[in-house]
Order: sequence, then C-alpha cells, then structure tokens
Amino acid sequence: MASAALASIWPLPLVLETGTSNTTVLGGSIDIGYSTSSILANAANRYINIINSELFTSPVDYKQGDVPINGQLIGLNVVVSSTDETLGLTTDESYTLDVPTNGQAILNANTVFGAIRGLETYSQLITANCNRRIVKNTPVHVVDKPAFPHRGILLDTARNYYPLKDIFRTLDAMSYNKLNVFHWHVVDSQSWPIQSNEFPELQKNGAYGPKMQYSYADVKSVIAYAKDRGIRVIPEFDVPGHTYVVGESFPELMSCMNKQPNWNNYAAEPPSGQLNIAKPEAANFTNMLVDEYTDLFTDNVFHLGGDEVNRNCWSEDPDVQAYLAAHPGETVESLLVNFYTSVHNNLASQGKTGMSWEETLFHSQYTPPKDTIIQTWIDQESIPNTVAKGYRSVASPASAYYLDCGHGAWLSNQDGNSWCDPFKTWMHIYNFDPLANITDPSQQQLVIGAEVALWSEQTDSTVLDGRLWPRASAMAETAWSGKTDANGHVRTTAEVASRLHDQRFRMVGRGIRAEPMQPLWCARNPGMCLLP
Amino acid sequence: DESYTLDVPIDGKAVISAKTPFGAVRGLETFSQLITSSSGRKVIKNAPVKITDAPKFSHRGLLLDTSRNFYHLDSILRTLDAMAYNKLNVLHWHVIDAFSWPIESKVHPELTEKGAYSTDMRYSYEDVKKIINYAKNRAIRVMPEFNIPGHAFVIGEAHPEIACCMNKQPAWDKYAAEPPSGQLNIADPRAVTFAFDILTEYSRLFVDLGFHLGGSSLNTECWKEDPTIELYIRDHPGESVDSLVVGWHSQMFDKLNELGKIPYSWEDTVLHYNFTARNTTVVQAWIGDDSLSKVTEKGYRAIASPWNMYYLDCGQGSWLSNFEGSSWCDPYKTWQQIYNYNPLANITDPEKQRLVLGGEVALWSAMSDETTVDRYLWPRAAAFAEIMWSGNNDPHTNSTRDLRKVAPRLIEHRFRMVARGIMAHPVQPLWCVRNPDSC
Repeated sequence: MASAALASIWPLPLVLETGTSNTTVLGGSIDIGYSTSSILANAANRYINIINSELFTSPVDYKQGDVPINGQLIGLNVVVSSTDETLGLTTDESYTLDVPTNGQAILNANTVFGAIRGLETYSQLITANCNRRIVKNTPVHVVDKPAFPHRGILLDTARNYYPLKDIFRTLDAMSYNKLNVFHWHVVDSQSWPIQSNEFPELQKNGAYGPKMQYSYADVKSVIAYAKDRGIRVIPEFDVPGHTYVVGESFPELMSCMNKQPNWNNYAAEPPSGQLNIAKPEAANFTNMLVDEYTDLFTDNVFHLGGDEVNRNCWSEDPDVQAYLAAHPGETVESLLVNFYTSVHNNLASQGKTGMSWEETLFHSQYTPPKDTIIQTWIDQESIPNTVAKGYRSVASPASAYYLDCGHGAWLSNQDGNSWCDPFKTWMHIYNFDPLANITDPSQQQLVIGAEVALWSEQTDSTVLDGRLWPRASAMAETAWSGKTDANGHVRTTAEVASRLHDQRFRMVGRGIRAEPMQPLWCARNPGMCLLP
Repeated sequence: DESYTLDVPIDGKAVISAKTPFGAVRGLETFSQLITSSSGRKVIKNAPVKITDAPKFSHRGLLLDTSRNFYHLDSILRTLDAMAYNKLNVLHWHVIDAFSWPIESKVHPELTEKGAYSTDMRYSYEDVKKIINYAKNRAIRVMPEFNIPGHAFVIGEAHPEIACCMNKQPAWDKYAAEPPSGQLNIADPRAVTFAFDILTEYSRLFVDLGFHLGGSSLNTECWKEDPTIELYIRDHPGESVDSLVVGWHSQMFDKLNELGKIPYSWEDTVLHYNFTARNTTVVQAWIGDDSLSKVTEKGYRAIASPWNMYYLDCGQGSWLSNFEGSSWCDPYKTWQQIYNYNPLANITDPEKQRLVLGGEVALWSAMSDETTVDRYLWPRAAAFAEIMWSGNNDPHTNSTRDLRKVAPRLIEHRFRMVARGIMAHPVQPLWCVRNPDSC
C-alpha cells in the first residue's frame, strides 16, 4: 500500500529516496551548530516541540503492529551555508535531508528558509508506531526545492474580522504546507481594521469595534511570526474600488456611496463606494496611505488592488460629470489612467514592486509598470494572456482557487447560488495547472506562482480552518512540486489521496481543524472509494 | 404537549405556564432569548412581553450520521444543546451504516470489535444512556436508525455468512449507492435471526417509541447475482428479489410492532416495493418533490426530508478521490432556500396534511466529522427549525415571510449560538448585519 511503502510527505519533494529499514527516533534533538540565527533557533525549537508532542499514525497503518527496528536516530544536524535572511521572491528555499538507518540525520540548506522547509519535511517523516516515534524506510534521502517561488493564501480580514490567533494559526498551517506568501487583504468596503497614523479616523470609524482591530504592534507581530516560518506578508490596499469604508471618514473623497437598493449598478457587492478619481485628493490620499504602509509592511511587494472598478459609479457622479464637462478631452477612462499612474509611480518611488489585479492590465487603458505582478482571477485564460504581454503572473482563478465559493448567495433575499459556485473540491484544485496553455518556456517562467483566496463574506473565525484546509494543501503541492513527477507523469488525485489524507489528519493533530475528505473507512482503504 | 405561555412584566416576576415540563423547557429557551445585554446590564426590551406559543409540527428533527465518520460524545451533546436553542425535538441517530459500527452490542460484541473505527471511537451503553438522558432534559427524543438490509458491509465484516456482494471493486456502483458494497442476505434465515437480535437489543436500549428501520437504497443486482439467492428464487417459483424484500420488511416491521415500537422507515419500503405496512408506521420521504404526497396518499404518517432542500451535507462536491465533479445532491442548500420551502406545498388535502408529522434536516457524514458538525448544521438548521415550529407564513400579509426581515433575526440567533459555544457559520459580512436592508 502506498503509505506503507513511501514516506508520506506533503507537498511531495523533488527527490525522495527511501530504503527498507526502520529507525526509532531517540530524541527530537535538533542541533543548529554554530549558527547565531534567531530564525533558525526559533524554528529548531518549534520543530522539537512538534516532534516531541506529535504521535501521528497514518489511517492506512491503523492496524499495524510493531515494525521491526534496525537502528536509532540520535538527532538532526542542521547546516545552513548563508547568513542572508532576506525573504523575498528570489529567496533560496532548497534543502537536502538525509536520515540514516542509524545515527545522525543531516539537513543542509543554503538559507535558514530552506532549513525551515527541510525541518517540516523531517517532522513529517516521523510517525508513531506502538507509542514509539520512528522513521520508516530508512535511509531516506531528500533533495527538494519549489517549482514556483510565490505560493500564497489570500485572507480577507475586512468583510469579517479575524483575531490575531486565527492569523497565527493560519501561518502555522501554511508552514506545514510549505506555503510562503500571506496575502493580507486587510481592508475593503465593509471595514478598516488596521491602525493608520496618517488618518486615524479610518480605523476609528471603519473598524467593526475596539476589539476588532490590528494595531501597528499587531501587524509587526504578524510579520515577525510569518518571517520565522519563511512566509512573506504582502498587504493589499485595494483602490480605487472597494473603498466605501474610506467614505465613512472622508465622504468628500468619494463617489456613489452606499447606493440603495440598486447598489448593483455601482458595485460588485454592497455597499457601493469608490474613490472619486476626478479629484486629485483621491490619489493624494492613496499615496499618503501607501507611504505609511510601505514603511510598516517590510516586503518588497505591495498590492494595490484595482479589481471590480465600476464605471457607472463615476459617470453618474455629478461631481465627475462637472469635471469632465469642464475638461473636454478627458474621460472616465483617462481619469482612471491618471489615478493608476499616480499611485503606481508613487509606489515605485517608495522602492516597492507593485502587485495588482488583472483589471489594471486588461480592463483599463492603463499600462502598468513592466515589473508589476499581475494577479489573475477572472478566468483561466488570463494567465497565458498576462505572460504573453510580458508581465509576471500569480494565478488565482476563481474557478479553481476561490475557497469561499459553494455556499450560495449571501444576500438576504437571494435564494440561489453565489456568482462563483460551485464549491471547489480538493480534486478540482489539485487538477488545475497554472501553466496550462503556456508552451513557451520563457513565458512559463513568468508565472511566478499561485494563491488560493478566502473571501470572508461568509467566513469568520468559526469556519476559517475548515474553509482553508485541506484544500489549500492541494494547491500547495501544485505550487511546490509542480504537476508532474520526474519522469513526466502527471499526478492524479487518485494517486495522491492517501498522502493528502495523512496531511489532513496530521494537521488536525497539530490543532488545525481541517475538514475530512471522506469517510474514515475510505482513508484506511486507499483505492476503494473511487469512481469506477 | 410543548405549548407554553410566557409573561414578562415591566416590574416583578415573569411567569411561564405550560402543560408539561417539555413546554416549560421551550418557554425557558424563549425567556433566555428575550434577555440581551446593554451597557453591561441584562435587559429585556419592550416589556411587558406576552407570548403564547406552540409548535406547528410535532416532529422537528435532525439526522446525524455517526457511521461514515465518528463524533465523540461531547460533539453530540453540544449538538443537543444547539437543538434545544432552536426548539428542535428529535435526534434521528443514524448510528450505523456500511462504514463503521460504533455502538456497543452485548448480544453481538463482534460487531463493535470488528466494526468500530477504534476502541476510542465507540458508543458504550453508558454513552447511549447519557445521550438519551441529556436529550430528554432538553425535551428531545432520540430515535435510533438501524438501516438494514442495505448498507451492511460492516455487518458482513463480522458475519460474512449472511452478507452478499461484499466490497465489490472496482465496479461497486453496480451493487451499491456508494462503496463499500454489502447487503444482508434476505433469503437466509440466519440474517433474519441476526436482524431480530439487533432490533430486540436496541429496542430495549433506546427508550423512544419510534425505531427507524432504514430501508433506503436497496440494490437489486447485489442480490440477483448472489448464488444462494439465485438458488432460492429457482426453488421458489413466483418469488423474486422484490418479493424477498417485501417478505423481509414484513418480518422486520412485525417484529418491531411486537417489541412495542412504532416503525419508522425511508420511503423506499412503501413506495418502491409492494409492501404495505400498518398505518401506525411513519414514513420518511426524501427522494422527490412528490414523495411526501405519495406517502400520505397511502395513508401513512410522514416526515419531510427532501434531499434537495434538507440534506445539509450537499455542496462539497463528490468525495470519490478520482472524480472532481459534483456529488449527487449538490448544490449546497442555502438558509434562504430552506426558509422559503414549505414542506406541505404539494399537499392540498387537509386530511393528508395532518398526516405530515414534521420534518428533518440530515447531516450525512462522508465529509463531516466533529471538526465540521457545528458549521454544517448551524444556522441552516435554525432556519429549518423556524419553519417547523412557526411555519414561514406571515399571518399579517398571508404570504411567506420576507427574507430581508428574517435575516437579521437569524443572524442575531447565529451570534447567540456562537456565544453559547456553537461554531455556527457566518451568514454575511458584519457590516451587512449592522446595516439591515443594505445587503
């Protein structure tokens, strides 16, 4: 049976060679040698705790008796060759891991972040057998590195709020899956939870409540917690659409504030409200905010949003109409170009790389700076279309990667599906190929990775883990391991189900309430719950 | 009798008046919902409050499948609490199925030994009694379901001699609605004896008058291809798989009646087979829009649980590992859809309407366990609960209550349940909750 033969690592390493012996783990000791890296020290401690408290047995092995033991593992040595702790798109996450039948295991990596990836793999090699911790099928040799450098989760903390502990737990779960980007969609029309020193009213009027906020200290602790796990935090401040909440403090900056009942003429969802791009104050305001947050958020990449921009919102605004009447030759489209030009140029002047939704590239007359990372979501063709234009793409097609879909419409008086139903099953997610229909290798290189998105209209703390896991794990393997084995075989969901079951049960053991994939009987009997 | 009156004066003592303690339990829930907090004080707004209340339907249930995946005791008790917050009064405990046999059996201990997922994933007699007692304190009946002769793979693990078409692979779909296949051999008298043992044992353990025999999704091929059944049919001209099924049902229903129980069963027994049960039998309609009316046409009392409205597990896609499509019962049933549905819609004759005792929502557990139970059930089962207790007709307008008016109450109830420890799923962005009529 698959799990008995192969180590159950998720996501699958590039090279995984196993032997035929079994080794007990004497102690979870992890020795980082002379390294003075606090990131590495924290990681070592973290994994010592995980290893010493985890007693994980695969469902497939539930009846397994004592396995014969051929040797003892006394611990793990970690060797990191570089002291560079820059975390970004080009960070080296590769590692090799050797677990002998007897003696000391060795983890080698170029950076502490590669070491963190290797530590996760090491922790997954250790399973419980009759109350002993063992590594099966030693000696184990792993050589590993990711297929894509950007492997993320988007979490929307504006439609509904998440306390810090939920974010920390999500970062933990991401580290169990070698995901490395936390795309923090921190504000939107419905609320503004984050502290602003430039415009304190935004949080005062926009946060859901005093206990539903993120202070500067909170944000810094998220960034530090993430960095300890090799996870980048990319913030998104979505402009000029999705900004009703700004109007709660600065109504003079806005157009089409909370049009009712026909909000759908002015926005993708209620409440409507967009920055009034006919006013220079709108861009100025945005730039001041960006200046503030490019200091707080340390990642090199900053997401400016730009999705679902509604033209009626402006063309029917008397203010905008008056401006256009007074400025013949200008149009709503040219105003939008000016707005984008101003904010993207300002961002560049802060030394950041911009990231934005595909509409800025495809649904406006603006040409984003060439180094802008375009996040595609509308349909799957957007990915090849983006790279054909020479831009880097992060794939998050709604049809495959939007994890919120499948729970029907959330408008009170609507009894049907949501726009993006049905629910995206783990199989559907796993089968999606971000490189589909891109044959030119130089264009394939421009697809830098993928993100699953959890929009929070119908999600909050009570359901967070189940909505994300284990489906985000399915994407995590596509993004880390690619779609094919070394011999070119495209992995099928039937082949990987067992390993994903293991990952799900392991995560539950680690405190993540990942949802079950099948009846437990099916998890224990691989291959018996397939469509004939 | 679950009726009560509740009087809350501006000043002084509130009074609940009820004919039975169960009515008082309902009144206490209402009383607790009247109390909100304002600036750190507990208050009742809009006093004096005068309530007269009684349920529209007497059977307001929730089916929980604890066989496909296991639910530890605390999650079942928590579900009973949540049911009490919604005045639901029947826990239809689908305790066993093909996948596992978690419940203790003193007569056939091998069933649990071979069939429970683990020693830790079991319900002992003590556990069962605890659940029944906990439920009774909340005016909730516990009605067990032992779904035989189909869905019997796990029985065959302990008693292969009375099982047919055990775990046929890979083409299980010829023999069963889902893998693993396996049905009791309805031509084998040992199977009848075994079934009688089960009915007898569990009729004693479960004190409720109602006992659900299952009877859904019987697969004819499974029996047709079994050599002993082929032989039996050859030796008994005039008999067929169908007549064997009818014979089986007769014996089981008679046995239950003898044991002093009222048999409940899925509609298949009386609608798909030429089987006539006593008219005290209660039939659970789940398949079509017209199932309920067909059942009542035949004179049986009925419970409405149409899959296309009330199966709460649907919407997660298929759970077969190699198939990325929908499950048979997708899409997800929304609270709005559940609220708008009137189970009596297709029954015009008032006599027949009276035969409808109520309804049930169902949580089948192929992709659910204790990590998901709260959010799959709530607050959608709360929407259902209002239809069952209050109906969805607004007497002032004589039409279905406007969802825009219902939503704020449902959402408030959702937050109340969360505060009481039930991880009910959020319905909308909090902004929408605070700005009713804007979403």
